[in-house]
Amino acid sequence: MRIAFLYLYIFAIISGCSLDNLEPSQTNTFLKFYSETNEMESKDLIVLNDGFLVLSTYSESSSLLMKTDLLGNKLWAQSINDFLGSSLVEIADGYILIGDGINSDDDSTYMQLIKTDFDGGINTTIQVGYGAQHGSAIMLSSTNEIIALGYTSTGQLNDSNDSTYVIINGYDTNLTKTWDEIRQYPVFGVDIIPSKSLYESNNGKLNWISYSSQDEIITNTDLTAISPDAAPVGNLPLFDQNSAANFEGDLVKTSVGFAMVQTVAENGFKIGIATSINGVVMDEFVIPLEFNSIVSSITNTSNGLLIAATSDNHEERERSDWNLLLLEVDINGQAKTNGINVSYGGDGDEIPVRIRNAKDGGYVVLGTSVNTKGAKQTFILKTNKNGLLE
Amino acid sequence: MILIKKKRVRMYKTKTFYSLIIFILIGFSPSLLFAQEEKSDCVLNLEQAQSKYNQGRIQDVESLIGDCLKEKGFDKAAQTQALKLLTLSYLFLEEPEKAEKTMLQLLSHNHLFTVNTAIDPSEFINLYNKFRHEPLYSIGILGGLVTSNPIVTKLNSTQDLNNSNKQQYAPLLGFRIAVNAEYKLKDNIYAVAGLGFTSIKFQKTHTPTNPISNISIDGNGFDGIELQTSVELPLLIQYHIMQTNKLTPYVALGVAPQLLLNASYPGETIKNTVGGSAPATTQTINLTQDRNSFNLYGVIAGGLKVRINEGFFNVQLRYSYGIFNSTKEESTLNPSNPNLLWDLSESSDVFRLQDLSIAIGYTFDFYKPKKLR
Repeated sequence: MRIAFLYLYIFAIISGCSLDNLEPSQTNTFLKFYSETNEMESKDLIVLNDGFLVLSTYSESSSLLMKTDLLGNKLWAQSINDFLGSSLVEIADGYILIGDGINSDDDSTYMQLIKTDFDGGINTTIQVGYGAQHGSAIMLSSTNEIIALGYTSTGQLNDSNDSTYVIINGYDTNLTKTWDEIRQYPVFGVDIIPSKSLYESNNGKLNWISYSSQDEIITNTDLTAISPDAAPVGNLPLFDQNSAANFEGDLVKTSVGFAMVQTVAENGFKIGIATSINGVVMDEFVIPLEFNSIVSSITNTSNGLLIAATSDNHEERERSDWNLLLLEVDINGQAKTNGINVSYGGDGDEIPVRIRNAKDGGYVVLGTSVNTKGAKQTFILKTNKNGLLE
Repeated sequence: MILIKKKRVRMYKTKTFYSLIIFILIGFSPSLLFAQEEKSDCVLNLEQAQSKYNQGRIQDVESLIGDCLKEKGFDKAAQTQALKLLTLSYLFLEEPEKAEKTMLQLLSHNHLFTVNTAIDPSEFINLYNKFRHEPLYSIGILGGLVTSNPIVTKLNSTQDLNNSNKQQYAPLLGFRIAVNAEYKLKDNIYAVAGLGFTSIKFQKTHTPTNPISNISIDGNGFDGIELQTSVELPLLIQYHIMQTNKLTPYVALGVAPQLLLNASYPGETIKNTVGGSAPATTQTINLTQDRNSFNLYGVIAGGLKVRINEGFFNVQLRYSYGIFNSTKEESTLNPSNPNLLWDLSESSDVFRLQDLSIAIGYTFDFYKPKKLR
């Protein structure tokens, strides 16, 4: 036995070419995991000229802001305590994050905006609202104004409506308030929460969709279009008020208007897709898939739309885990015969959060991977233009 | 009374036993004596024949030992001596055809027979050299331990390796067993072909660092033992550095085409731990489709043969270097089992394989003496 170990030792020495001198291979398509803890929750990703900016949470009160290069290698990472981020936007001199600030004294939450420099250093932090507010989405308007979208559930409306409702406000890029007051946007008798995307339409209106947090009832999803610093002008229920409760949808600006996706409760969970022009819903239907799908995000392709969802589509039907599904539809939301239709994942759950267009024509998916032991990691999947790893 | 009875019974038994021994001795002794006598006659005849040969009465040799040779009345050593004596007699009686015939009988009877150049007549040595007296081929079996370690050519990972620890490989013990055939090409140079079965394994570990804290936690990350089994057909040229009656050191060089039978991460040897959570494990992950099924190895070997009877004990040290990549590059991000990538966070590196083996075995020589043209 000693001889065998000696023999092994000698071989380990002579064959052990050090990997320290070997540069990691860099490919345009990749899958990368990031885990500060085993409680990572991915929140948002934006594509920069020189990389990706990723926002995750890694505990019940801390967020991770991380910049990677275009190949997924970390350039820097910043921990932000007492803050659960939701979304982020790039501005001329840094980045602005929106999310929930946490009062460490009583664990109460409030909407919080944080401005950082290009290295993630925090410059400005502001608290929005009166308490129990939550930040959901953020955008930079064509007039260089920061629009912050969130919701509150404390019944602060003047009409004493105590339902959960949308709040929205405007700031300059130094986070100085530019609107006279926070806009409040209720739907009477229904709790609504805005989703993670906020866009400005060509006619200068703000567009987002909301979902309901009320369980076990038929809920609605609304396309809302308002003019900045003005009263809301639209509130259109989608999918025949058949959206699945508590599932956040997404919308994306298209060449002609907007496309929206939402999980619909129809024979399980299905992908609902709708299109609108100038705040008017043009079409809406449910994609007839044979398996359950919970939709997360949507982006444009060269001649259609790409939906990121999680599905239980397995050849082995006894499996119950959820895999990432990328499904391409045409501009009207109809499934494309030769479009992208690919699944990724193993025995754990792969849950996409955001899909974006990469600079090279491919796609970037930010998501959360939950392995079979329940450990959660942030992942970035960068595919080619066909949605594939190569 | 009882004691007397017991004593009588014991005496009866002893008597019966001795009677049996005497019967056996009497019954078999004539044939034993006869056999000894017959054998002794042949040995005496051989001694007489040798004496006649020494006296120059060579024509008497055949008549003295011819019958004993036909009737196989010699033991192996005497048979060798008798055939040599007869061959010498025919040579000096100028009966070359008979001499060649008995030389062939001699070499067929005793494969290890060699001439003594110091005392044997030159005619006998010349005749001996006209015959193929070395093994026509040799067939042996070799088995032993093998350790294998990848030579990584492309470092892949689902982790950010620019800011993290890199993965590590460690060789583990496997085994190789092979059947080899050797054929002499020319002086000291042999062609060796074989059929071998190899089972190798090596361990890959990777402990990535966390993005914010840049700390790697002990026990975190991927830990798996890859197992590969394959068959190979080594083709080597073997050179005998020197050759004595007992010892033959040698070196060999060649190639070994190898066909992969199976590659896997056996279930109990693979795990991945994230952020201090319980390690995620899977069932056995089959990697066969993620590895190239054919490979070619360059082989260099050295060893020592120790002559034992009509064969040799062989100890060999061999190094093999995979000329082609073991990994299919297209499988690194698209493994046949997606659990590898997504649940175990493992993206295979692109690597070649090298191994070092030490083996022992025994090789049988197969002789077919004949007159060379």
